[in-house]
Amino acid sequence: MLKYGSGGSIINTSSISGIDGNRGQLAYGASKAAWVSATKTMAEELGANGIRVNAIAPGVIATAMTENLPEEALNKKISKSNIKRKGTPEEVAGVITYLASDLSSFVTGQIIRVDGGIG
Amino acid sequence: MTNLEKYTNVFAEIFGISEKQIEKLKYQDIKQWDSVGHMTLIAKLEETFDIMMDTEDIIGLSSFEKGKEIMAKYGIEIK
Amino acid sequence: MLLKNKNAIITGSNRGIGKAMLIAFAQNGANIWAHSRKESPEFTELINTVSKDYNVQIWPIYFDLTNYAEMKNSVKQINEYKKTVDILVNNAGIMNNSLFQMTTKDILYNQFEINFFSIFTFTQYISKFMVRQNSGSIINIASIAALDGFDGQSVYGATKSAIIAMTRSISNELSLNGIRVNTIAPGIIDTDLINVMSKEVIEKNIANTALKRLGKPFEVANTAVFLASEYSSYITGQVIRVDGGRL
Repeated sequence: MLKYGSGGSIINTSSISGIDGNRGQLAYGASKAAWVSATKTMAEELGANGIRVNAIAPGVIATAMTENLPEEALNKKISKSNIKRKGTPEEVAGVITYLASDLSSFVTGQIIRVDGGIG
Repeated sequence: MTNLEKYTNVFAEIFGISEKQIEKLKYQDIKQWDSVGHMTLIAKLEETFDIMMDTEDIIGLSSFEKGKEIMAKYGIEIK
Repeated sequence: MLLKNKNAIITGSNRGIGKAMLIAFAQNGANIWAHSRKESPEFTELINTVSKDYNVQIWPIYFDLTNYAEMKNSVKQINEYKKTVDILVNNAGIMNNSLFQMTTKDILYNQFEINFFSIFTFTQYISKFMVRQNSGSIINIASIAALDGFDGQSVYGATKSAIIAMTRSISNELSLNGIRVNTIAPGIIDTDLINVMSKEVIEKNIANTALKRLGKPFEVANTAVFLASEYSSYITGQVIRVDGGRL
């Protein structure tokens, strides 16, 4: 992006586990938390070149990854949300589309929670 | 349909109860009439009778009977 | 077109960010109840032009935010249309800066009246329509002043903080009725509002952002379009900063 000089948008994938923590997800959460810091640093370093850097922090999304997690734990998390169901991949894609497009042209360094209102 | 019938129907529909249970019904008498059920009830009454209730009246509508007095304030005679 | 056939209320749509929202929402196919404090030839021309350019319906509504009789009347008018109210953008507000110990009671009370109390009441009315429909998206415009704290903005920031807290709470309550509620916290945006800032202060603020420039009103409007649309269907109770990456 820097080479082509035309700006751009980078979207990192964090997780609500990276912000809130979650029992049984010490390593996963910590690795996702890294993106919170990295996103802000990257945003600061690349901003002058017109490159925006943001992260999404998805909640409980209906994917292959969550299929294998214990149902009880997932339901407990979902019960903390306002929109009381798993999110769909399309709903996450909608946010990515926003962050990749000019709709978010003045948004950078942000961590957007896509979690149905858990946090 | 008379206003009383329309009014009674709203309670029956929102709370899923029979008309017999409605007459002496008060807020929090049944599980369905909690604060969330209350706002749904108000929304339906406003829609059915095409009125817009003040906050004081929304709070004051504490029973099926009391509701009739309140509706009268908005020019709706329940009978 | 992200908002085709949706009906939106936008307060303070006659200038600044509100005007950009009017245009952005119309571009995306929404019909709009466009609010302004009072009627004017410029505003009438604006809504006629936008309505024609984007082939959407725009209905003007006029009321002073601090006049609850006028507000209630406008809500009744909106009800008369018998259309779904899909989106509410609480954009109208004022900014009156003063150093803490030089802040009069008038400045304190007036800003809370316009920036918080009126929005609270108006949202109480409009959310009832959304409860009937079991769907809706409410977007409140706060400010980074609520989150970061700036000299001279102890009141302004507090009013916007109140909005953020209200949003968080009602996003919980109204979710039971299928309603999402979110806040946008704009940074320093190029509108009349920043005329009160000196050139040095503006430059210092620009240097303090990753993107090294002021934001444009349509950039805030576009995030409002996102929050009004189905793209954000799994997002509620959030504050989205549109601030160019403040450092």
